[in-house]
Amino acid sequence: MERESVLEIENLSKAFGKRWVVQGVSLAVRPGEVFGFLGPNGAGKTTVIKMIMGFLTPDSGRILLNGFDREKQYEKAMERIGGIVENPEMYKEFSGRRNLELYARLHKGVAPARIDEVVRLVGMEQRIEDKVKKYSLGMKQRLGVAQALLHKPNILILDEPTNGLDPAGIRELRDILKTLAHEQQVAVMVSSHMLAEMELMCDRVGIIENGVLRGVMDVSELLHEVAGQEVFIYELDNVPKALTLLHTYSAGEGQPCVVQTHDERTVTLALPRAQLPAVSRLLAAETGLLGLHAKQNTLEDAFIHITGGGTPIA
Amino acid sequence: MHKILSLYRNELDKIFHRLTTWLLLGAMVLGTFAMGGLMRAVTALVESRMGMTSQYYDADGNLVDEAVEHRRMLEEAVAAERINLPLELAKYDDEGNLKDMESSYADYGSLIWRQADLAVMELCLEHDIDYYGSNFSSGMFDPTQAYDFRTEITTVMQPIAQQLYSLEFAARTGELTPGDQATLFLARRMMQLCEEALTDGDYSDWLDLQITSLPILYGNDAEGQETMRKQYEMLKQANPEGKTNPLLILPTIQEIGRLERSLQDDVEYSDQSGGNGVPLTDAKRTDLQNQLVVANYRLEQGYFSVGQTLAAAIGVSIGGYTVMKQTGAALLAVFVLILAGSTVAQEISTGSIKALIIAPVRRRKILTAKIAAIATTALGGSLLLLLTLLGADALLFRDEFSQPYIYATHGQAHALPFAAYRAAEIAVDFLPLLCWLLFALMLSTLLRHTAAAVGVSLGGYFLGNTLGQILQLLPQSWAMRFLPMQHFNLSGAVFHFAPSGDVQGLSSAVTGIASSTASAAFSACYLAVLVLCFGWTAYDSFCRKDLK
Repeated sequence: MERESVLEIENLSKAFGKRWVVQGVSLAVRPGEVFGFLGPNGAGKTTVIKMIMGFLTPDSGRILLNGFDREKQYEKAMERIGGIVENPEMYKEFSGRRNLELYARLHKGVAPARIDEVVRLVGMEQRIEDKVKKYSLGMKQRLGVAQALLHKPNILILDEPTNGLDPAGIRELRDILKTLAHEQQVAVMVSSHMLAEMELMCDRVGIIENGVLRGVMDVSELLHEVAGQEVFIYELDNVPKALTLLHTYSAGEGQPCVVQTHDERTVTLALPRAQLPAVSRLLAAETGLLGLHAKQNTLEDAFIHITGGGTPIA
Repeated sequence: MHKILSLYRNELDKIFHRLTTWLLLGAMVLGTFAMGGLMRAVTALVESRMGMTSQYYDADGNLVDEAVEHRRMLEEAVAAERINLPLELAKYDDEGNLKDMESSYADYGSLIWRQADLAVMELCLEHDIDYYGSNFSSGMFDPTQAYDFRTEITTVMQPIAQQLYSLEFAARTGELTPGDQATLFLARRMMQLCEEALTDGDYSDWLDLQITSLPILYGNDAEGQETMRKQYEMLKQANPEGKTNPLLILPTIQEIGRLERSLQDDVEYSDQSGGNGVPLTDAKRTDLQNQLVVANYRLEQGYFSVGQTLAAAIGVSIGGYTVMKQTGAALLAVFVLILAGSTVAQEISTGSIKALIIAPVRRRKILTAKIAAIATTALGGSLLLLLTLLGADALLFRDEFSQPYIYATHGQAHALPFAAYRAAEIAVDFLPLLCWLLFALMLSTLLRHTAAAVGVSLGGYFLGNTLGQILQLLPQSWAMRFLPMQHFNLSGAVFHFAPSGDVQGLSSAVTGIASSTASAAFSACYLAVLVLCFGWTAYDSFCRKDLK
């Protein structure tokens, strides 16, 4: 019987000195899904990934990879895991192919043909014989993905994998990951700041903030959760005054709305459509309303909604 | 095991792919040769300044054979003196007084000496041998040159002849004291014996003559006479036909004298002449007895140390081979320290460690493979250094380096064949090198900063060795054996029967530290403990510390 999850994290915590950077994080990644790990800078995403990959030792909690406890059965647990943590770093004096050959030695049963296969997969055929020191960041990223896939892992963990990739490269990577997950039943865990990309790539997301996991849900479910509210962009003459007014308004109505200020003249509000006329009238009367646009809900809106990524009202 | 082997292969690939590796190994080989060349040049310069060897050129600038040139110079000198000396002597009467005061004249005493010199030079021409004098040189003080003991006779004949001619002149002009008469008799007898020795070519006769002359040389110093008499007797036994330069043999004979005297007085003397010595313990007495057995064995078998003798002859305190070894071993150590100091720190700073950490391999295996790869490289470097040293020695010094190692146990001498000895030396030298290697690796894992780890380990290495040398100058107390720098000369302690200044281990060559009071077993245990401590700290740091 196939296991429900191939990657399970239970109550994971880590402190650097006296500061807890990860607290009680529990999540599971299933085969065949792309799991997005989202959070603002310094939220603890990379720390969690580093604990999974063996760079950091958790202060408490347990990590199961393919059912093996990473602490007690390290080599078995890491046997079928591949990944990139932060930037992919290789031996710069070696060619891309030599780097892959060195890595292949550390895994059983990686045939030379497999190296060609992954090189083709990431589109590096033309440059694989060049020294890595001549590679751009995007090429290193591709080589890192090739290395991560070399031994056919069933868990793939990629930390910011789209860094340095051009739009075409991002799209290719997205297609690769989706194919791996959906057709080869690989469990893919991806952390990224590019929320729009995550929306296109991921099946489920986990949102972490200040070391605490705020929630894990399907992307469609998350978008649905914020669907009760709509997002409106106001162009105003006096944004500081508008923020004060909105604060008073929210407190009075008891209905929180989320505000993001982009520049001196633009404010983004997430609020129920029923309140649109009242809020618009208020802002038009007191601050000078220059323009109003409606916007589709996105993962970014959901992210802001959950993490309070802007200035929370109320 | 498969994974460790794979990691090991990867590490070797990485090491030998680095340009630094080849540059440092090349520097070791070239530096060793360069230092050997420099020492050879210094030796040649010193020899040349001392008139020990000369190169002669004809009018066309072609190098002329030294023996031929000496013969020509001698013939010219004799011919000139045969003309000049009578002219100079004609200025004096039979009493040695000037007939006329002239503006230029020679001292009559010096003319008598010149007569004596001329007589000896004529003898040299007659017997076709080289002449040792202030205007000439010979190969007799260069142990690497062919030796003719008869040349040595001229060095004795010249002062005797001068004394003889002076006394004969004194006898012609006045009464000799009884002492002068005895000396005159002895001088005539000595000249006669010298001529016989030149004619017969019998080395034993020559040594007997030297023994006969001891009362003249040593006077009332009976102990000195006895010491020298023993030396000549042993020389006669070791070198009956006089084919070997006695300068090669004398250091061994003198060492035997020192050991016998030490054992006799139950005090260890630092040299043959005695003086302040250290009272012998039972262990030390046994050691000295074994050393005596070894020295006698070397004398019997004809194993002499050219390097030591040459160094003594030219007044240079250290032989060319030892300097080469010091240089090469220091460069090897620098290479190993750079390699070990950067191995973990550099991987962490460049981020390439990530691929290793993500791989299904425990960190202790990663470190084990790294240590094994660096240790293998260090061992290869040691072998390369040994080959370099042997090659450079053969090319530059033509030393009798391929002698076996003579040692003794329970009063019985043994010879370890050359190849086995060198292999064992490599193995012994490797322990201190491994100790430094792990020290640098430990710093690499603790500091995780390449420059800091390499810098501190190199600084510790050179500072420790300098301190070790300074400590050797201080009185040795029992507590000093617990200082680490006392134990890096392990091969010096293990192969302590090897002639000093000639054969030292690689590590001792690095440190230049003489054997400490600690035994080889104690030093080996001490170093093993250091290896374990450094290794354990490195493993603990690498396996436990987070990689942020």
